[in-house]
Amino acid sequence: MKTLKQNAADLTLALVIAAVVVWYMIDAYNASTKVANLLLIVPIGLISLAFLAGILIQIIPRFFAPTADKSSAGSSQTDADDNNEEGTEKIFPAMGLLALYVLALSFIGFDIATCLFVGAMLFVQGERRPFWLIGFPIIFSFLVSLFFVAMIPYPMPMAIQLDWFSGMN
Amino acid sequence: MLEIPSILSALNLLFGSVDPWLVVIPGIIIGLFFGATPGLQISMAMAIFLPITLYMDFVKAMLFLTGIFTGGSFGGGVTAILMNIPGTSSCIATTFDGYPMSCNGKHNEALGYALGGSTIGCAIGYIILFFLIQPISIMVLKLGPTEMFTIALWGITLIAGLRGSQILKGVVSGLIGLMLGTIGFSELGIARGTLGIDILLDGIPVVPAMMGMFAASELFNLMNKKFLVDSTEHRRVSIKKIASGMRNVFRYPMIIFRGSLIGLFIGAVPGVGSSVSNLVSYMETKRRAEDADTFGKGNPKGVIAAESANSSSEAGSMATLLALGIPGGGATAVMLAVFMMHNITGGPTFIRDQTDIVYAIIFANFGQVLLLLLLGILLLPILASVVKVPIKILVPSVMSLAVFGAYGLTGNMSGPVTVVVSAVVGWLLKKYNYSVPGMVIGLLLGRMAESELLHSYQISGGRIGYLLERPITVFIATLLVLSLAYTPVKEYLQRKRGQKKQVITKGYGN
Repeated sequence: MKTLKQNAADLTLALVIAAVVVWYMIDAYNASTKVANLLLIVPIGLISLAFLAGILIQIIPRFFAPTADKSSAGSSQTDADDNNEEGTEKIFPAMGLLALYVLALSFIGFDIATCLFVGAMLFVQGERRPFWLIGFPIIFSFLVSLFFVAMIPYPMPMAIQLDWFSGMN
Repeated sequence: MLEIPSILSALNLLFGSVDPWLVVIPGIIIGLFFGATPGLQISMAMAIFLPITLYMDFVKAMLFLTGIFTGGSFGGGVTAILMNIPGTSSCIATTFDGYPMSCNGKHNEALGYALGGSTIGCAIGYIILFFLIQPISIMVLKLGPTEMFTIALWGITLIAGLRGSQILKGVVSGLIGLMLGTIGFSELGIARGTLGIDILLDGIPVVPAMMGMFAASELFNLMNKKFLVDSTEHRRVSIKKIASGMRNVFRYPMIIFRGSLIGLFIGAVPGVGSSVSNLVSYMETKRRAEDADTFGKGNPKGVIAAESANSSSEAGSMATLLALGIPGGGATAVMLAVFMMHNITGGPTFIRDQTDIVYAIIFANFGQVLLLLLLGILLLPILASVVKVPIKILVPSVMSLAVFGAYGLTGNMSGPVTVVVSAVVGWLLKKYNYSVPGMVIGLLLGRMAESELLHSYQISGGRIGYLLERPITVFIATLLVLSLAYTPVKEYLQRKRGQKKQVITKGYGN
């Protein structure tokens, strides 16, 4: 059963997608008004907007439908919906950590950032054993850094210099 | 129809040195492990390991990825049989009889049937592809830009159609992907949608986007999944019994052959692929079986039907990829990325000009079948325990690999940043029932679709009537409309029938 919050999120996402479509059509139009430039973008954009309108027509009545009546929601529920409410308490911190990790890469290096990220992710997921929180991230980040330094032809930001391994190339 | 010089050249490419085979073995092993780990999909494995293929030539890169594909389709069956968890969506029907066989203490035989069905199915699929690829390419050569554009649109619509009741969201995902795929410089040299970011002038980095959407976003969802493995922990693996199961596969040649054909043809349809073919093959085998009532209770025929179909659909999806340059699903989408990374355009001209490479890919798959047989048997004891690797360790490890890999692909931070952004976008889309594969394939095809449309426009001089002079275009466009209308019409009819039934039962109730 969809809650008010889920419906609102569903509606917001559809509106955001519509906004992106409109923005892209305007941006392409501003770049050049030639038919050849707009040939794909405008028709596909307009069809997308029409379909998005259809999606909105499906979502909006759900706000007015009695919550207990599942059939009045207009569409059958999928298993993704069933999981909607649970578990975001772990997912949002994980997303935040992933973003922080990527932002930190150029400042503290891939090796240290990876070690901290893996440790923090394990912590968020409820791991409390010292080896898995400290030992595993150190071993994992060392091995992966070593592998990529040896594999990749351009320099990677690293805190600990592993450059001599790149001679393996 | 077979070109003997190309065949010889292909054999030389493959057997001239051991090099190509050195990438196949790790490919199959990676596939087996990713396939056997519930939650990790084959396309995810291929996306994560894609950066490594930068250092391989095109043939090796394709062999490595098809190795992952081949290994993955069997690996998924292992968990399906042992713990009733389909490791990948292509093994759903394997659980129907595989798990009951396990419960009856026949898990080794079931694994043998699965391995036998998988390897023979895969081989049959590729043998047929070998004979058909030339005729297909001759047919495909007749297609012009209008046809290619409509085929691309049709492919996206079919993938979208899989969303069932959420068909609108599916189509929107594909169309938005198509639009986002055109970001950056157009063929005319006009930059659009770049937000002033230099990196976007070349377009959204497709492979990191794919890694984010297929791999990282799935990993977020995996964090909440718990798999019950305790009850099945003590199942011992016996190679002898597995081998006897494999031998018994040959008692059901018709089931394998039918499964392989179903897999091949369904696999060739974009968006449908192995996740549907195994179900269709299972249902068809059950429908024809004399002992249909024992299906679902541990009938080995069910396992063979499902596994032969999901393995042969690999060959089907390769046909679409090679002949049209259009990916049918996640796995072939990653392969298309390899085409792009090596500046190769799939399609009829590719088959005509590089026949030896096409044959080499097909032949290599025969070799892969034998290697799968060997590695499958050797690794089964480890694969069976793969599910015990805690998800909480897998999630951050695979995410880090994606970030490293993305940097390796782009050589700057744009790769990792794209992974994060697309991971969040992919997670949101999936949560609200939009189609992630639809968007990724749209993103991949955006440029191609725009350029085909532009060429059609130039050829026709902007005359809409030109489309009506192209019968194949009209035919594909009709198919497109029909496939879009099919689900809503079917649902409407079902709802109507349901309402009628309700009225009748209510009538009885009163």
